[in-house]
Amino acid sequence: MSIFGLTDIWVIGAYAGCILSVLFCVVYSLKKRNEPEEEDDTDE
Amino acid sequence: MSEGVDLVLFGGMTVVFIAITLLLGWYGYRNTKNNEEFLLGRNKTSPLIIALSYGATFLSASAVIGFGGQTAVHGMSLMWLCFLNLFAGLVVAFLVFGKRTRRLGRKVGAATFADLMGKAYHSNGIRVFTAILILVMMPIYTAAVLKGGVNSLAVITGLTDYYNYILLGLSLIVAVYVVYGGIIAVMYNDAFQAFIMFIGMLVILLVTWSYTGGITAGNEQLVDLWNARMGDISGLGVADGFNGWTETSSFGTREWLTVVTTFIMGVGIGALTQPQLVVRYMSAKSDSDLNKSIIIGSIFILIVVGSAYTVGPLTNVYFNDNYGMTSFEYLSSIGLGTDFIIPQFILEIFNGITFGEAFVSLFLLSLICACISTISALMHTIGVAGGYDLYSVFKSRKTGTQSDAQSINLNRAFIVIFMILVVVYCYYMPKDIIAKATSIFMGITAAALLPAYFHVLYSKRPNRQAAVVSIAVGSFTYMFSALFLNAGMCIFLPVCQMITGNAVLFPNTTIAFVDPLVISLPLSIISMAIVILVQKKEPNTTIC
Repeated sequence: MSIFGLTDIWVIGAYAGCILSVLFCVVYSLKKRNEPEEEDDTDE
Repeated sequence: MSEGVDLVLFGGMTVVFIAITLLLGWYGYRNTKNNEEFLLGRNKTSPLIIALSYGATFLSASAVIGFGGQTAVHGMSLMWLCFLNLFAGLVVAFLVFGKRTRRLGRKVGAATFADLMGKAYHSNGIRVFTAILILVMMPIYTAAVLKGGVNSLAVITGLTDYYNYILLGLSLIVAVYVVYGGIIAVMYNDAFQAFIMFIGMLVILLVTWSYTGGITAGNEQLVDLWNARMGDISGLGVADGFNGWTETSSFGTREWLTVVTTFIMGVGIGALTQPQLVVRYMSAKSDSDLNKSIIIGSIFILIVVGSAYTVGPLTNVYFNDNYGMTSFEYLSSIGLGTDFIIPQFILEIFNGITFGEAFVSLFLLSLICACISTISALMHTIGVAGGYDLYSVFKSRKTGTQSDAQSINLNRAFIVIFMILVVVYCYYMPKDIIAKATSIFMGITAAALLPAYFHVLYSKRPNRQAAVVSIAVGSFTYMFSALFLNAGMCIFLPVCQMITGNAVLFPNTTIAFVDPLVISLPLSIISMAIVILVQKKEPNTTIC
């Protein structure tokens, strides 16, 4: 398997991980945009 | 090396840049009415400012030229560091640590990382230790970042005769806006500098892919270049186990251990306990601001780090096409180290193309931005560790009552004194130390503080004794490993050589190539778990 000339699964995985992390940040942020503030759960 | 740099154009851009920087410093000064605003500036931030400030502080010249140069030598497996920068340094940092840090900070009235740890554990000792760790270790890291930036600037522009003036000039600019403008000036300047870094790195990535004929063609040329060497690693600056710039090195080999434990894990995990970054969470007005910040932060980190780590290996294609040598071989042949691979490549690749001189100047400005955005945040953290944290504890002991220092001027005095110390360090540090110093600073803060930091955020009854034991074990084992076991670090800190006559205690063994963090962090976690478990079994033990 070759993606953009890369064949090493670990190197491909690193690039995929980077892109997925950014996608996660975008989706998470948009989903949380209109949610109310969470309660402070560090209170005893 | 100065060919390709239009000094008049670069000088003009620098003057405009300095003017804007000082203007933002003045804005910070005008909006800093009390010590809390000097420390946190909570009401002057926005998600955009927090994200860009976090990103620019996180990514110093180390990420662009230090680790960019390392990817040219060790290859694309270092993209795992980019992933960890995004996943650990942003997703985990903001969602697992950031929100709770912000809330806990508000609850206990903390304004710095040391303050947070001390107040949450009700321990002046932990606060003092954290502040001293910052005051001892952070100036070394700051000096490495400053020296790296100034070295590159001086060599690239051909102004090596003016090295002292560049060093003092950059230090003075940082000192002026941090001293007067506090955290507000630091964060607004970070955001401005992040914007320049973003544009600069994006242009460099696109021009590199344009040179190689596209992404696939570039990677295939890199594969061909390695295949042509038929496994010969002599002169490449790598160890046994290296399999080419597009392949991961063989598992368990010295090359693999260096790349994975030192560069990827050491820096990737260490980012979670950076005191200068923790303050960014506490500056946020709400959790919602942190949620919004991660979109901008993730795109910024992907472009800046991803570009540097993708361009790094591809420089081998360029230098092979033009000189018949790999990047490491070519730079060695002209007497320069890995920290100069990216700058040299940029100078050459932009030479002769339309607006090439403007892009080179933009890169140099990006380099200055990467350098001073990190230094300013570090100097602010150092200043408040002395003027706020240490003095608060000193004052409390003297008066017998718990109260925090409120003197902005004392923070400013510490910043000035330590800025002078950082400049002095720059003259005594060895070359090519940027990536290594980054790794050491991030490693020791993680080994000493990460378990205690996580515990205080997630436990309803934080155990002070467990935190103290964890901090002591993490600090001691990290320092012991760095000074006596790890071959890479013992070169810079030759204590073992002075005591035993050998560079490390166990030369040519696997342990000599394992990063100290891999040894010390698990020990720090285990020691904390043992104390917690033992105290749970003893019903009369007081848990703080």
